[in-house]
Amino acid sequence: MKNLTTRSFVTTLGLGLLFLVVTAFLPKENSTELPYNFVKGAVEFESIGELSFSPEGILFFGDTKGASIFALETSDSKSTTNEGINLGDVEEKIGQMMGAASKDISVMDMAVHPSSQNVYLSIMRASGENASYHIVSISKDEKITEVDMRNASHSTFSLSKTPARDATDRRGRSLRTNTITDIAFADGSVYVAGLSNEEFASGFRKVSFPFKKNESLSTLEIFHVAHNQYETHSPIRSFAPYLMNGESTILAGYTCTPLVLFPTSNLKDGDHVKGKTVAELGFGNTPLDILPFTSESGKQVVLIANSNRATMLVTGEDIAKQEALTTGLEGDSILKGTPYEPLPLSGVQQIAELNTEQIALLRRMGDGSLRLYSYPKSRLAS
Amino acid sequence: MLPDSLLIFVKHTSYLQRLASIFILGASLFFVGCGEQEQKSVQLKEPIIPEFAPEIHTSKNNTNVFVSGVFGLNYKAETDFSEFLSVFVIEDDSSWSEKSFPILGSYSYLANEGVLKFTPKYPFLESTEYYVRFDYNSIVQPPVYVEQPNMEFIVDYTFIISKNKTPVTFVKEVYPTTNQIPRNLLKFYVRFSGSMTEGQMLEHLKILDGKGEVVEHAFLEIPQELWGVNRQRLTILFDPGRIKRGMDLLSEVGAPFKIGKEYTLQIDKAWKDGQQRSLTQGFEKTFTIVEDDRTKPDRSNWTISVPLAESKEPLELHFNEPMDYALLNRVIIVLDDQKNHLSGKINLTQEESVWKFIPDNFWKAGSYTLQIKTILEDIAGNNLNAVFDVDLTDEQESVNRKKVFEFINLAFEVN
Repeated sequence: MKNLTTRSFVTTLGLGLLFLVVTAFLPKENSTELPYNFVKGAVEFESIGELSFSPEGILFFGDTKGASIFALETSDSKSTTNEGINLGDVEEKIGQMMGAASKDISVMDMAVHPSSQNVYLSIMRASGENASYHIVSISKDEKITEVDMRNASHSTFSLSKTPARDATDRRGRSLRTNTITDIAFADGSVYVAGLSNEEFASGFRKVSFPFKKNESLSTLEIFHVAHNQYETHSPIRSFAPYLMNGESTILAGYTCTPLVLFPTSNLKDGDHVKGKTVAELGFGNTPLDILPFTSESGKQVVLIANSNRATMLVTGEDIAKQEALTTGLEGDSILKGTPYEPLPLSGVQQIAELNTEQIALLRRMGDGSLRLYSYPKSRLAS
Repeated sequence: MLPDSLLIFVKHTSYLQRLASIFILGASLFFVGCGEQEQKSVQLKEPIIPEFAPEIHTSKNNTNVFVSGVFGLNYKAETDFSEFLSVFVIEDDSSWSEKSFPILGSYSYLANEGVLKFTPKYPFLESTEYYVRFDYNSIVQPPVYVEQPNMEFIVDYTFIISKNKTPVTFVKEVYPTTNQIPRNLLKFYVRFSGSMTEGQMLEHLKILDGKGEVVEHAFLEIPQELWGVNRQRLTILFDPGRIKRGMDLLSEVGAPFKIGKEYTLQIDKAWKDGQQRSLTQGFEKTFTIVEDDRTKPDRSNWTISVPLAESKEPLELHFNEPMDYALLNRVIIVLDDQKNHLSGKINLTQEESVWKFIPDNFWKAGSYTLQIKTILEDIAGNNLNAVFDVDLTDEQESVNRKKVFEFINLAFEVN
């Protein structure tokens, strides 16, 4: 009994100390303003699609149905080591928690938290009138947690400009939507690529962060010239901020499949900017995801996941020395420009940098299941 | 983990009070600790067998799971019911395993009615198999011991929600309605009579050639489908990489269609509407491929047919070629001489080559303007400013490219 008492006393003391620590960090009433002009409360979105993190761990997501982008505090800053991640049957496991069979779980996008290295996935549960949208995080110990949207520090920015006068349907509502195909944070701004369900036009936009209420939206017209001859206004499907010779650029994969480079300093509202076409990724193919990263030896490389081609690896050196494409394809070639190395990775749907040593891949496996796993950078590039 | 209630309690006190409360809490935990230890020292000789016979069922509208007949449950406010009542999703061709994660949700126990209730965090879905497992061994206090190996203290239940699935939704029309399609057609619009589900397009919509073979990778493949706001209209973009010029080989290999050949757009009836019902019937549109359209719509080919004053006759704009169905409905407006936007209905006729405007009010004599946004496209993606892909070596195309306007204004008089 004496032993028990001592143990309980120690436990009590421990709990007391824990309490002291917890209470000291509790926010006081009338707490100071949140950073980034955030407000705390329910995040009122209509859909969740593309994801991107800022280096500080702010999570951005695109809301196509609500024509908005959101910034969200994830409170997930615990740093970790460079070990990998591995989770099979991703849709099935998320579905088990959310009460849906794997067929009713669609993963829309993936992003990695820069310090915790938890992998964030945007999810559509069910479809049609039952569809709902969620973000889950997956930790290296295979724990799946849903991000709480009922009470989060966040801010939002509307992408719908004051609409010019449009004719509308009988209910007074236009049927036009602008699907957000990719978003990325770079140099204090969020870049948003969009694809309209009506006019076919380049809809690339830039919003500075923290979001300001009255800021106008920069609409950037990025054209690319193929073979020094044809200029199209095709929309961007996937892009990534990319540093070339110290200059901030955007490396963009267009829906008509060229890979195009343009400096961000040239981007001004309403301007007609021409990008340099550095490669053709082939017809009947769509670039799904683009990831630039630094190899172990400090070389810049770019990984490109494709809808109907193998995942490709391109070196920064080759991109830098590639002249703008001026000639058509020759012989049986389907690709042109910057040389690339095809990787034995088919079915890759999403790629993201996990840490300095690993890439995170979300891949559709041969048996139809979806697997999240890490791949050492050293196996991709020296 | 500290319960939320304790944190809230502490939040509203001063630091001095906090220290006092820590002391009080510490002391109470000390006593609780002692009490728990003493309780564990009780040894049971005989297992106690529960007297209740639980039954599992779902609520009428399938929003909750109930276990009834659970009287005299020994529980505390902090009891975690998920330890003995769990609901699982069962995948097709598989069964429950101990590795499965249970569905997230909340629990409540109505002691007087002997009912334990589970409410899932997200609603149960139709056509999904759910498995409920109530393991009440651990809730019987004191626990039943292993001396009774044949005793089953598990009840389970499987359910699938199915509703009357009489199909009601159908394909109303596919645009462009013309059967003469240029080889570089950029998009089709499919209009449904009701709202649909997302994510099934590539499964249920195909283009077949004259031999009935599927034309592979004809469409732009992106994870997001391009639905209108109400999910009744779907835009299908052809892969722009196969339409553009400048790749000589592509004109033979890349283009999805061959000039002079016949193709069929086929939509099967298994495509689910927004309430997971099949369509009432499939849909087919057969068309013939004609030459590429590489010219931008030319306003010198357009004619306006002007109505009479004091009538509600339509104003007609004839384009002399089929134009984009969705844009025709959105980007043309009529302004009076005071720049007021006239309200009215839009009708498209002659395979979307004629735009008609029927005003809500009678036409008054005076000057009017038809204002057309230059993003208006023909069916091959050429808009009023430029062709789909401008040939910069072509002097005319190149010069036009630099003159970018937002609108074209066409003036007309009503007499």
